[in-house]
Amino acid sequence: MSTIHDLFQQYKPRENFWDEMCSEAGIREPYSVMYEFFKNTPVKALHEREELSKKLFMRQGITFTVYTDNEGIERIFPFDIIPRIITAKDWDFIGKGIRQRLKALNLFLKDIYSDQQIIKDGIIPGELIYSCPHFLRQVVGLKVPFDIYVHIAGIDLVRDSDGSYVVLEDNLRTPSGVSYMIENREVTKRIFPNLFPKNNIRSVTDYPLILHDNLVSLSPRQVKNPGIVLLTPGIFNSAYFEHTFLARFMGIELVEGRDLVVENHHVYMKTTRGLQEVDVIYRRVDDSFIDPLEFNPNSILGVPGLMAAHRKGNVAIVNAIGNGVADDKAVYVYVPDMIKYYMNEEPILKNVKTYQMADEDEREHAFANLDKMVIKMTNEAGGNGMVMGNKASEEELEMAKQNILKNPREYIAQPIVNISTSPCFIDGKLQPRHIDFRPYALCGPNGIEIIPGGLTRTALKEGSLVVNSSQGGGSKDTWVLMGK
Amino acid sequence: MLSRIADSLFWISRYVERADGILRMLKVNYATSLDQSTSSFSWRPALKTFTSLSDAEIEAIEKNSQDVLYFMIDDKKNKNSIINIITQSRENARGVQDNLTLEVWEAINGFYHNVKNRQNLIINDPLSSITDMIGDCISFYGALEITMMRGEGWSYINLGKFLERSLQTADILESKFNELSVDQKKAIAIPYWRHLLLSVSGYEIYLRTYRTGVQSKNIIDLMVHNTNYPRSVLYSLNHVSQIFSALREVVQPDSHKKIEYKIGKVRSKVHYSDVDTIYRKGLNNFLRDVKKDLYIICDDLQNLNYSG
Repeated sequence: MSTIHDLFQQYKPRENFWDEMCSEAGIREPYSVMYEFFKNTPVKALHEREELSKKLFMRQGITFTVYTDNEGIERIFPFDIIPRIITAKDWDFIGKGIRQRLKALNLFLKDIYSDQQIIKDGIIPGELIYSCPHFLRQVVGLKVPFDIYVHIAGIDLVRDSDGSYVVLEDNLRTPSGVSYMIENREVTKRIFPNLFPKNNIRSVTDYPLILHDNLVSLSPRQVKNPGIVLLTPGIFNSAYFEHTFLARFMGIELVEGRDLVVENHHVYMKTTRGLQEVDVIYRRVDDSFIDPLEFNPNSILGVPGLMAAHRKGNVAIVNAIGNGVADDKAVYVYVPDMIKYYMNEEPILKNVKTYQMADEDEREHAFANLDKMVIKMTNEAGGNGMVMGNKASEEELEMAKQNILKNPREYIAQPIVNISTSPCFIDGKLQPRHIDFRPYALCGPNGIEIIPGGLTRTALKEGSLVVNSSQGGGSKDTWVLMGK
Repeated sequence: MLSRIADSLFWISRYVERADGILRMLKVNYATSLDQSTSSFSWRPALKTFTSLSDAEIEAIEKNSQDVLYFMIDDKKNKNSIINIITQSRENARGVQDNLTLEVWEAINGFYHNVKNRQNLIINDPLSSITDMIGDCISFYGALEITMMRGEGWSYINLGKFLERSLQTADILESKFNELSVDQKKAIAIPYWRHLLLSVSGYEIYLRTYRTGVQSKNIIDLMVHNTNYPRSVLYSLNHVSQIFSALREVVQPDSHKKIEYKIGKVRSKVHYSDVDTIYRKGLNNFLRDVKKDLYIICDDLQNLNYSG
């Protein structure tokens, strides 16, 4: 009978990549507890646990729907049962880096929508900001409570081949996936109940409560029970499960645009007992759809008049409108400069080297080395418009170049990062798959809290460096260990 | 509570109640069909009550249990097939799941997946499958009863359940009586009614309650008036009335007054009717009248929202 001991013995990490579990010397220390625990378990038991995990996701309705022949088929997001482990020391470093970065980004957003001192001082070119489609003139000069713009951030980190953490994206608009962080943990508790007490794993369950407290603190009315809602685009949104999850565990109302109405610059929800005032909106609707009077006039997901109510200070909106300008991949280049400029500190977390295609010298350099580059669109997310130079054909690369030359501002190029691998249970074996890491940070009036855990996304195909769920990636539970 | 949510909650349980009624009817009919030679058993009354098939369409399948079960449970073209009803119920629940407890949501979601993924019904013993699905209805009701907060949401869920139940009982009674001629109604004995009573879980209660008298009148008394019988029209209406009155504090006063009046009116109509009068004036007229009132109340409840 084969046991998990055999699986660990047979595990072969890829050369030239950092593997989370194995170094050349063998299994890394944090994973040894898991190994000791598992080693005599038969492989069959792992299969059973995997089946159980699928049933649990299905039963809870943590699914998305694929439509073929007009018939919806429900699928669960691929879940790998082997947890990823992050040491207390690494976590400490990541936490400091994220705090520093978010402080700078908040200061940047405040500055860019008011005095624009950073442009005047020549740190960031004005034309870069003004040409960003997510820089919204509608919110210039708008005051937000406590000067907080980024209430929730899901910064994407990857590990380079030397094991160092690098920031890939900041995700300051409406980062998703936090429900998977919590549900992956719940499922792992169910499938490996005995593993937990031995491992000193930090809890992730407080996320909704901390977020709720922050939302309450933003209420413009000082009342005992402010009206707090989560605004969802509706049941067909791919993150709808997450919206219901968060509304449920914060005990707030889940509303759609059609449930809200604005009267005299106050926002109300339509209830069976009449209109009830709404003070804080945690919205999962994009900026451009939030108010048809000021943005996309065809939007039926938003609320007409919402922006005017917001401008009067009668309703708080989370995350702030207009954050997208700081998510622009060409503006990302300047985050280390923002940290130096606003905080006079050295950046703790590194950026990936990024070439701006609007800059002629950088573009020439990137074009000459395209086979080692990944091309990304500056204002797309979820892997849309991404071209991997090492995988693309000659024609695809030529096409990419043409596109870039047409609209250089919309593209950046980055050297492909050799992102780390983690063992995944696939086809009855442990196999290395590339992963990234998205911890979630919450900013409130009392500072920044980072939930000790996060979402580890995994590429499912062997050798693939693309982990986006929209590109077929999966996820796994992520353990942050307590310090000794 | 958001008006949209109140409406969804109302429908979640209305659909489950309908599924429960259909499944119980299918179970008893199927068991009966096994008892009798195929030439004498017909699904006609059941199909008349629970579908909108034409006489010709009914004739095509009335003797074929396999076809009927497929049509009533799995056929997506049948608007009231179990798969369609439960999909609707679950879609409503999905849209308001943060207003249900996790256990209630998981019960309805699990029910949906069980119906959807169940293997071929006929090959795999229909009675067990139907019994399992009835079990899913019971799990749903159990989760509601044990875990849901007693508030506005709970009230809408129960209004849907009891209104659907009163309508269903009236429907079943009407179609069963329509099969019989006037003379038959007087003469017919318990074995004939056993089938009906079993399919509405009323057989044991009937035997305990009614020892003498004209059977068909007793049947009407049980299904319309008997408040110890949880599927009778009056039992259901008493609950509707009680639940709705308790919403006085949270529903807009004008709408509340209007609907409360209508509920009170139909409840009195049923309460103060007696079997002999109904019998004399015609059961059909009576039931149609009651059903019309109930449909109006259902509509009013669905429009019970902020209209501005």
